[in-house]
Amino acid sequence: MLSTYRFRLIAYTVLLVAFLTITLVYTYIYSRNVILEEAENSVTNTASLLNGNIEMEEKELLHYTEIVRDDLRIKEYVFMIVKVGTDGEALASLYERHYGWLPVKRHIVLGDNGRTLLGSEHQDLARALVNHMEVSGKQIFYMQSGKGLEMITWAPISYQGTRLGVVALTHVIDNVWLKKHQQYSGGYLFVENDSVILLSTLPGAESQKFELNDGLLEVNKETYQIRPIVLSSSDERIAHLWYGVSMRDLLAKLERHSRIVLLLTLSGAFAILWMGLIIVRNFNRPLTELIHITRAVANGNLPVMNQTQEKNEIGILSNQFAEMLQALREKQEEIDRIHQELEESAITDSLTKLHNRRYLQDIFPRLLAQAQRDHLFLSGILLDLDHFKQINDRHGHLGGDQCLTHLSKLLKETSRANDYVFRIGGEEFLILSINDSHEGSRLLAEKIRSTLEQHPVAFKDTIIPLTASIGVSHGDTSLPPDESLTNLLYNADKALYQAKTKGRNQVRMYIQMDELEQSAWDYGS
Amino acid sequence: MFRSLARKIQMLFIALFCTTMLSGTNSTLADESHENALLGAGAHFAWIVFDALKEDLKRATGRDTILFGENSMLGVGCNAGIKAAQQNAIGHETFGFVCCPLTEEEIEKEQLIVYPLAMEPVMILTHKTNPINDLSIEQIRKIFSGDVLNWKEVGGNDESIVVVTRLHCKDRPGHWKTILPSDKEFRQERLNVKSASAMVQRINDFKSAMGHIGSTWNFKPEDQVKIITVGGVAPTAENLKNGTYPFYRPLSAITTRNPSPDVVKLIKEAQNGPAFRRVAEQYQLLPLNPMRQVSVKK
Repeated sequence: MLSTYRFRLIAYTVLLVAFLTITLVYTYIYSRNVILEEAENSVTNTASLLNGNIEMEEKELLHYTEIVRDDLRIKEYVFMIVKVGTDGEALASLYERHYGWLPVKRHIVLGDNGRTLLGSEHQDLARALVNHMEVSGKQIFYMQSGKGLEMITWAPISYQGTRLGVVALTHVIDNVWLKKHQQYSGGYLFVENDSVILLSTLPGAESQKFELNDGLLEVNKETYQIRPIVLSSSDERIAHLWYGVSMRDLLAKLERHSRIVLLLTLSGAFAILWMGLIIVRNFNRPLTELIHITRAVANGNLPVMNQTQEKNEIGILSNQFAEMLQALREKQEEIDRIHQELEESAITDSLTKLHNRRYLQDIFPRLLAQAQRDHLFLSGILLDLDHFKQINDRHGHLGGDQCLTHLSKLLKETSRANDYVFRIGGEEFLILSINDSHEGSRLLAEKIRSTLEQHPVAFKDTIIPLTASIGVSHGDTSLPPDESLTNLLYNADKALYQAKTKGRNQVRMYIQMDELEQSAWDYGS
Repeated sequence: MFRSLARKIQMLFIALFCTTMLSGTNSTLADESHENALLGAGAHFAWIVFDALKEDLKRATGRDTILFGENSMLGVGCNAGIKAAQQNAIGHETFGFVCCPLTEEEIEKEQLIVYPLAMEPVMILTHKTNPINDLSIEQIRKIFSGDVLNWKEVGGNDESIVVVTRLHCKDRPGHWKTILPSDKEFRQERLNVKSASAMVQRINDFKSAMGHIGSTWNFKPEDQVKIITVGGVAPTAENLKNGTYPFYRPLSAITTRNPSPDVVKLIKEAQNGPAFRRVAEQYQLLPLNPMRQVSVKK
């Protein structure tokens, strides 16, 4: 059973379902970690993206600064202020006229002597700029501005080979900036200083504590994956910028993902199971039928196998097998017919179509047993054509054969249906008949004799008269069949001899020849 | 044979290409819309003067006069005027303007005829808020040279003086050289501008600035500038005529040595016509009449 395809198919299906289930369950179990890891990467990537955006803004602001710095008029005006000693009003007028449109928060021009040439109202910026230039030559830096941060870029102004001062422009990172950048980041932005959230796009987060625990921030009983956004030359003492994503949002995604995974698991398992059952059914049924049929064939049977309409390999095999069975059946029928013909020819005389001596030996035991069982007599009527040699001599063998055929026909017509007629010699015939008395046998023999006498043979315009001598005997049921047959033939032959010697064309009965020999002769006619 | 034919076709295409490109870049005064017009270009003053005379000039010559001034592709300036005059040809009659006197060497080298039109006062500009309304020639020269650095030295406020100059046509005599003869003598710490409009803008920006400009400039109402007198003398045509105003420059028209009759007729009308008198009066120009041709005889 274990080696059958049915079992294997079921086993394969079960294994496949089990494998799929285990795989998907594994995926389901570990998808949380995968999602969280991916979310962590996503947070990191988004933070990097924000870093990139800030770097672009820094470059853009520096570019604006250098445009202002490189303007010859600006240089000349600064030169006039620094070297000639005029006030900054002309520079302010020039800047507003030509650069008032620049998208910057604040602008300032400082002379090398520390004097504010433009933007004197921005003294905090001037101080931060001076402090920064004392410690760093980097043209981009940040300062804390209110609750937010201010990006500052600066560039030195030189005229006729002399450095006159610096120009600085600023962008501010405030709530507006945070909201603008949150639109494409999808998470939340925080400005933190001294572990306190100063600004955030997360509602209600401002003034909350900012304490990181393994990269996670808890605000208002919610946890956020959080990453820093690195700012150029930012002073450690100023506020920091952070980007975070809500863990609840991430887990909500996980829940959605889990449901999809579970649905896929069940659907996949059901689909494989269903397909397995279909395959088992489609393969197993025709294979089982083929197995039963081949087993029947092995047992010598050739059962009828119906054709199938299936066009697949199994269907084709079944139909070809059915055709093969049909061909075998036809061959078997032909063999049976030939066998029967052979059997019949073995027990039939070819000329007269009567049973021959071989069949006599086959059938005699059965007839003897029947007679013994029914307490009847098994009579043997032995017949020999009179003067058959002369007939042959006169009319040839064809004439003799004609006489024999004629006699056979008469014997068949005259004898009863349950009588057996044999040709046991050239012109000798035997009729075995079961009767309830000897008289029945004698009457049958007499009927045969008279009928033959009355029906001569017509051969080539010649009428050949026929007569026969008949000896009748009976089988001894006390003897074994072989001995009884020998005894019957012997006794019938004796009676026949009597008929021959007494003038032919007569019937002689043999009944207890030793005691009743005389009376046997008396039965002759 | 085929190679030769292909080469000829190739050359034809190259010639057509070059012609197309050259016609596109050389549109300047040869534009089709200017057909049969007399074309002029050059220093800024001419754009003002000739624009005002346009109808009179048309009556005199029977032809339109098209001027390329401050917004022209040719730009403004004396060099552009010389270039315009040299583009004169049959069917393409041009003339130019210069606001600086040309040297005889330059006139000969460029094969020009100069037609003096008028003398223009060079005005001294300060910011409107400056309390100084008059300076002597010496004070002005000292301010421009850097010998005077603060307005208080000339009776004004305690403010550093911002000198604004437009030192163009440095190789030609006259004009700003009536103030100081060489750019080397001007104060080093100054603003040197490239155009009259930039001059006005600088004076607008610096309340303590001083600069110079020709009288044919059209000031805008919002300009915060004023013209001061020099030694009590205003920059007028009358003061130029009587020689009391010291800063000036000659304005001239120029042509090639073979100007068309219509161009000559136009310039004569500009020199002598009544319309020019009106314009000269408006801008305090001193017409140089009768006509004086300055040329080198062949």
